[in-house]
Amino acid sequence: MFRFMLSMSRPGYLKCFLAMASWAALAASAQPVTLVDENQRVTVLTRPAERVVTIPLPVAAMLMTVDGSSRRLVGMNSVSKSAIKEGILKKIFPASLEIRSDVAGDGFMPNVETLLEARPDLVLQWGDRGQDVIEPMTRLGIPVATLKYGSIEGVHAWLRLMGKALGRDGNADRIIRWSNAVLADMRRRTNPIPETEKPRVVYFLRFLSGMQVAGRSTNQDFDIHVAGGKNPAEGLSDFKLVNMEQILSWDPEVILLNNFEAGLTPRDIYSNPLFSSVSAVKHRRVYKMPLGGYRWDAPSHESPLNWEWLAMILHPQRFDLPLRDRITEAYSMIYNYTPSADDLDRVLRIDINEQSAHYERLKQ
Amino acid sequence: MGISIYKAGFRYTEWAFRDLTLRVEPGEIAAILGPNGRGKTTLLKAVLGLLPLEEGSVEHGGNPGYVPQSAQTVFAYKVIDMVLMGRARHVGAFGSPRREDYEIARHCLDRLGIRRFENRLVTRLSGGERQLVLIARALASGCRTILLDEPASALDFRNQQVILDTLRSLAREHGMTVLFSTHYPQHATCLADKVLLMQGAGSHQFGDTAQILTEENLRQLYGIEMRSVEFTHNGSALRTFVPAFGFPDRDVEISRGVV
Amino acid sequence: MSTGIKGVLSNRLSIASGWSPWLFLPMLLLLSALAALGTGRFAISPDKVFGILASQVVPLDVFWTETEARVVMLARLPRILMAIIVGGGLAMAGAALQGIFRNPLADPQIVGVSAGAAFGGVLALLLFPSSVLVMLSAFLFGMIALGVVYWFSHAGGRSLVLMLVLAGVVVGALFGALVSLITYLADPQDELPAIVFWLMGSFATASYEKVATVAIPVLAGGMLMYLMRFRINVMSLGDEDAGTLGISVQRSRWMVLAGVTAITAATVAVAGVIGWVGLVIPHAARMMTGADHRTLLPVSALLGAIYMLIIDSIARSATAMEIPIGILTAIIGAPVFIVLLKRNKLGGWHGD
Repeated sequence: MFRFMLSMSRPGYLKCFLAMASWAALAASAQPVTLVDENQRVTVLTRPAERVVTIPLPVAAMLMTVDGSSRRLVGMNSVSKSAIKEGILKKIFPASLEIRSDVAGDGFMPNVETLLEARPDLVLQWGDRGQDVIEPMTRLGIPVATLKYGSIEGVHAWLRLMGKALGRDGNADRIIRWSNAVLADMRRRTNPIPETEKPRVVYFLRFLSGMQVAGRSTNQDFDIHVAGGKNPAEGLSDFKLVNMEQILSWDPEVILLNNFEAGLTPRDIYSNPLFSSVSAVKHRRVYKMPLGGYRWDAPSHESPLNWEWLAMILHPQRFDLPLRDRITEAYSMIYNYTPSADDLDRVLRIDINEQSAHYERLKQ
Repeated sequence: MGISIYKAGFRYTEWAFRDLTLRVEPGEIAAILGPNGRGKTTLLKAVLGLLPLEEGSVEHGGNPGYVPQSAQTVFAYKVIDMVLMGRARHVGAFGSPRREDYEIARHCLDRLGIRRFENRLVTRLSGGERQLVLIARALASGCRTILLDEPASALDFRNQQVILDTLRSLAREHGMTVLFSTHYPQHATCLADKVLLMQGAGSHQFGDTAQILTEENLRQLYGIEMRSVEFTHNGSALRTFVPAFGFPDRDVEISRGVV
Repeated sequence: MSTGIKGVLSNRLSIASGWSPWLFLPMLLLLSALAALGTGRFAISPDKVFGILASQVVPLDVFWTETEARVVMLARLPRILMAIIVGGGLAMAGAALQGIFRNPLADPQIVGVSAGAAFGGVLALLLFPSSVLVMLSAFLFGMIALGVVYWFSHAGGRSLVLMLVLAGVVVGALFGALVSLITYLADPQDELPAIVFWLMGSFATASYEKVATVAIPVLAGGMLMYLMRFRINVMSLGDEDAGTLGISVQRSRWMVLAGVTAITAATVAVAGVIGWVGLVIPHAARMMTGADHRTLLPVSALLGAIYMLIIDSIARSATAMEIPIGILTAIIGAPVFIVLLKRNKLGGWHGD
């Protein structure tokens, strides 16, 4: 701790003092916390973390969710910040817009100087991008817990880790239980669907600059299968660039558009003459992925909502869920926030997707 | 027209030559002698107009042809293509050689007796043959004056003879003006009407071969002992000079000043 | 190749020999293009491909689907045209550069133009993501790179080849660093993947607009170089020799470089930086026809077009995913280059 004080500017002293005072207060009641992360790294905190910095993108949103507040998040990746600004989180956690976002940038390389200024007692970092993004911090004695990118199981593990680190195991468990329940329910309902009735679904990670589709072992592939779809690109692994002819020979019945290319809308597909004979275009089943607390493309604590949305899109006859209510319930549970009708329209991207089939049900 | 140089001077930082005056008439051959690095090539380039004179003037009847010391051909061109490049001046930046250019090129090959090499690769020729190709290339430009930079220096004796005979025929039979540089006084004595001795630093001497080429002048020019030799062939006498390499007495006193 | 036989038949074009590249190569190009039109991930039978093509000029009973017609006319044809134009342009530019620099390792990247064009494109991708502006900016910065190289190498009134190459390396490195800077500044979620994709180069996004965009500068640059084909021969003798033959070496060189820049910048703009074609193809062409640039330039263009067409057909149809074109040109180009070096000591260079 002393080392941190040395590196601080003068006005920092007072804040530091206050922070230490609050730690002191907590210390009496708090137990030491032992974190074992997905890479079997053991991190021991003397008490639940009070100042956390998150470097992987979706983790900032998840940390605030688990804590129910943005108070203990003291630094994040600049890209996490822009995701908060784009989505609904800025309304749920307005104070999060003030959190510094200069601790890491491109390549997830921590900026140790600004990181020290943030005085974290725990940093969450990717564990599968080499030691170079971790060592600069451990060398300075900053406690680091690592995460692996991947599946919904990974997300559950992150939530569990964060719950433990923050002393909010209850919140984390509640979200995980909900997630598992929805997953089991979805599988129970989609497993019996005959293969022939499962639509071919292609997800475009990129479209405007070369078409990149999600192959097997991607989260999108997982989501498509959970929601009762087939992924014709599962012969490819990971995200791969394909050409028009390949799309035509797959003839997807549903096309999902990513949330990363800001200007991309179903209109780009509908108006492209080469796509006019694709089933998804003929039946107007091209959709931009929703954007809630985080982009629904990626695995996150909102993935259960994505499965339900996707099932309604893929199987309009089989699934007629009150999705707007589900979102409202879920947001009350995980964020303690009641979304307005406007919020819901924005999450579901009604304005962009309303030209597409089966979307009126998702309107108010 | 010939070549007429009047009080010419050129320098990079020091004078390569200065106050140089010479005149070579059509049908005449002039040789330039001098140690390495004393401005022989520079003078030829200045005559060509590739280097701007600092003082004085050069006149020649139209663009002279030029034969470089050696052609470092990176590309394996055919002989005919190589000779055609002599037509570059006439062809223009966006043109290609036409039928008449080919005819001129072949005619030049004929003149030098190397028409049979027309479709050989230049890189497959011997040194002497290659030198003839370069002369043909210079002739293809249609020049009346030809400048040659040590045209025979790197060749064996047989090929030296061929090149010298070629130069003689260009001057005597075709009335061309020939100016060439060489390291061998023999080349000058057997061929040249005029000789220019270049000692560098603005020091030079020009005149009829018989007057200029003396033991004393050559000794001063090269800084080694030079001896006059005379031999007869078919009744005519030829005087020339050879360096006296290998003499036991190397302490010949030689002043290296003005000739 | 036996020069003896060639010699007897030599005419004023001096290309006559046992076979004529003028007949063989265009035929091969046409056949490759037709084969490429019939190749792809979306299966269309050859009779339908011919039918679709023929129906563009003569009315025919339609025995193919609308989709098949679109695939042939809107997906394959523009892509094939683009590969032909880019491959032909780069190979011709490489041949001209190797000639004027008398250097067997010269290719369009050597004068820094590729790097300049790459920077221009990346800058435009960052500032205004419109494909027209990206192409214009790539072209503009390719020209700027050449201008800077000219200015660098011209210090002291005349430019030597060595200075030119050095300046090209420096300018190329500078623009390469600027490209890195931009990729560093770009938003990794949105802009960076687009930039990386564009830099890697691909024909996957081919369209008739892009074909037109690349065709105009490539044809203009190619025409300029073709007109100067004899002048390039003269320049390949070296500055001194060329100068004594009565041509203006400096002006000629910059004119050729302007043509090379037009071609390089345009191809980078539509298809990214594609290496090896401009390096390897001229050597192969020289083995076929000899060093004379009057035949070498058009033969290089034809050979480059065929090569690029075949490579791109592999890239788009071999697997479900697109194989990056730069990887294929390197994987095929590097060994081919080594074989050429070993077996023939680069035909047309220093003898054979």
